[in-house]
Amino acid sequence: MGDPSFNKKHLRKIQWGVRWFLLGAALFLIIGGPLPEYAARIIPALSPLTIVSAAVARRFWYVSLVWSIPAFFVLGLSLWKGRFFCRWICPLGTLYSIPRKGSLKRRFFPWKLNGILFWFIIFSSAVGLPLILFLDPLSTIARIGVLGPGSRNPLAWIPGALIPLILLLCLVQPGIWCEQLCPLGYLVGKLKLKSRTPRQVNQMRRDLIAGLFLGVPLALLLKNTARARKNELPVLPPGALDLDHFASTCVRCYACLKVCPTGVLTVRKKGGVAELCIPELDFDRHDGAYCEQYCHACLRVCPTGAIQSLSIERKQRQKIATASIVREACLGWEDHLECVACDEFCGYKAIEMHLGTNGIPKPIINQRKCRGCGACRNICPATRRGNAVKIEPLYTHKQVTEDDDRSAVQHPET
Amino acid sequence: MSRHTVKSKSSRRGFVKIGMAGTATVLASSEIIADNDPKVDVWVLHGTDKQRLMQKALELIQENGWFGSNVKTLALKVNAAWSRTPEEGANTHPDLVDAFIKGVKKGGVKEVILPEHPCNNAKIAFERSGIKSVADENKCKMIDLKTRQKSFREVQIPLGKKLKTAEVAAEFIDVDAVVNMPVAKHHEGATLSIAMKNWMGIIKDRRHWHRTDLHQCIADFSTFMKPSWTIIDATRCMLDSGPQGPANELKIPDLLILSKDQVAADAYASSIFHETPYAVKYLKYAEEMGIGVVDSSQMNIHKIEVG
Repeated sequence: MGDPSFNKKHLRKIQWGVRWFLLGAALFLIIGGPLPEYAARIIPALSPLTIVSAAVARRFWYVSLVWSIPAFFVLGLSLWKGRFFCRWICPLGTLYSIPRKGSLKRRFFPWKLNGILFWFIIFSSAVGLPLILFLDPLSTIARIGVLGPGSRNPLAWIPGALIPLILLLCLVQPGIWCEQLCPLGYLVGKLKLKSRTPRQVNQMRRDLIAGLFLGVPLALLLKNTARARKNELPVLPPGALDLDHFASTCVRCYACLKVCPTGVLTVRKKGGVAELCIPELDFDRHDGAYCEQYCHACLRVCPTGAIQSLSIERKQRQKIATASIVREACLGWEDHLECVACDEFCGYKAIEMHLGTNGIPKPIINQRKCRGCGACRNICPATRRGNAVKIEPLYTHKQVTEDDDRSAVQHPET
Repeated sequence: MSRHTVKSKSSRRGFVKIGMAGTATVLASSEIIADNDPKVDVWVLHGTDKQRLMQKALELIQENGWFGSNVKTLALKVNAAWSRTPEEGANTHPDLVDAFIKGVKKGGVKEVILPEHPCNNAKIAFERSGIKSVADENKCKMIDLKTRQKSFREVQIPLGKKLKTAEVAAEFIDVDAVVNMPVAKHHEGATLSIAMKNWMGIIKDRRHWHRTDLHQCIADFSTFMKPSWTIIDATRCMLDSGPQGPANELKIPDLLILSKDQVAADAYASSIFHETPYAVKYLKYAEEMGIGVVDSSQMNIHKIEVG
């Protein structure tokens, strides 16, 4: 077959060609543009780590058969070829390899922490709160998507700042992420069937024990302490079901932010470590920022099921918050103006008019019918005494029943 | 008198095009007589075939001066504000839009644009309303004004009582002709939403109208915005739960109402819903301010059956 060094040279060229191509393809899928919504899901769905740890956290395999294929493909490939995924496919790995040539090559960070990080994720997931799952490389690179058209959200870069930081570190010590820190890299490397020496098994045992003793207590501690206080709960997207469920499975890939057509989904600024930078709905962001009745885009792109995919009919019945009128601020109740903007925008007919003695329509929100979509809050034109719609987020979402839809409000006596 | 000359010229041109030059002089002169009549023309077309209703309406527009002379660009204000289907009656029916675009293009208009500042998200509302696909089919641009924040231009409204300025989409200012094609429907805040109310979809800040005085602002803005024609879709009308619906009671009048006077068109359309147009406050204001005709005795109502 000729000169082996010649072959090696060629192989390297082919490898770089493939890696650049796959990085380009990944960025294309992530940034989306004219692509269909599900494109935003493909890259984060490739990671077996996120899917497995979400399943461990919830004790339930959520992801559909079709959407499990990418992750199982990576798993199968790793059983056979080990770190082939890292060296040929992983788009983040390619990105971090770019500064290798010009780097200082100083080994200032000698420790290999990837094993501990991996087991930390697995054990903290087992307790119900995968604390550092956002380190998953495929979710990390998917975060670039929020820079694309539609979202424009600089806050998403708080967890996204990982990329520039590691790139800087790679300038000093190439491979620092891929070989020493990446939890997914550890998983695919260890999966390879053929290469287990007793020393490696020992090392694995040590990592496992370290992960267990760090992950379990920390996750238990933060699960109960680092949560949002009751008065500052986030409004979560309709498929999130409840805050515990959501916080335990969201990998912060922001595919949901990416596809939200109204831009109501944003990155949470408040809350404890357990809910650091999770997506939430903010109805005050800009004109038109509310959850659309005929949209379930975010429900269809979540790779882990943190936002479950509900049918449009079920999504329209999913109650995520409850709105109410602040009468002291309302233009109808207080200024006797024929405003009624909230009622116009309510897609669920949850706002009723109280005419009273003067015939001026004054809004009352039927709390049983209200889904908490925030359209009324967003359109409310009252400014002088603040917005006249108050939104009360729900910790656990529920379904609005047909009985609820038939209910009526109690009018005040006049 | 110069206005009449221009008008007759334009109608003559239209007829030369369709090969009826001989009748042009007769028609032009009859138009001058009609213009001397102080009554306002309102055409009420009845029929179940939306394509033919619109074709008849365009014939009438052709006979009555088209959109002015030498019209190359036309901005059409439909109502595509809500993510509702055509049958629900919250938006203008797409079949009417389709027939209109085809007709005016055949009549020599080069470009028709459909700018709209929707209430629901444009991507969803334009698609569900069925109007986006009609616009695409006819190669017309349907413009989401929410994404065109820079195109809003501040205008003075000297005749306005409470609304003195407004930021209006330049797409409606920089064209040769503007046509308003609203749907007639119930509206919780404004009583009825028809033609005058439809202009809320071309301004930047609708909230300002709500907190100022909705009815007065609607009337005030109509002193500024005067379309060449108002064509009201009253083929199906929501009698309640407006402006979004879906309505508990949907009336099917199968009407298309056509006039150059938007106030008269609104006043006639209001008869579908109420016994008197004065039940709608902004129509009352419009009459008081002399913007247009509300009293039906001041109108020439031409009822036409389109079989």
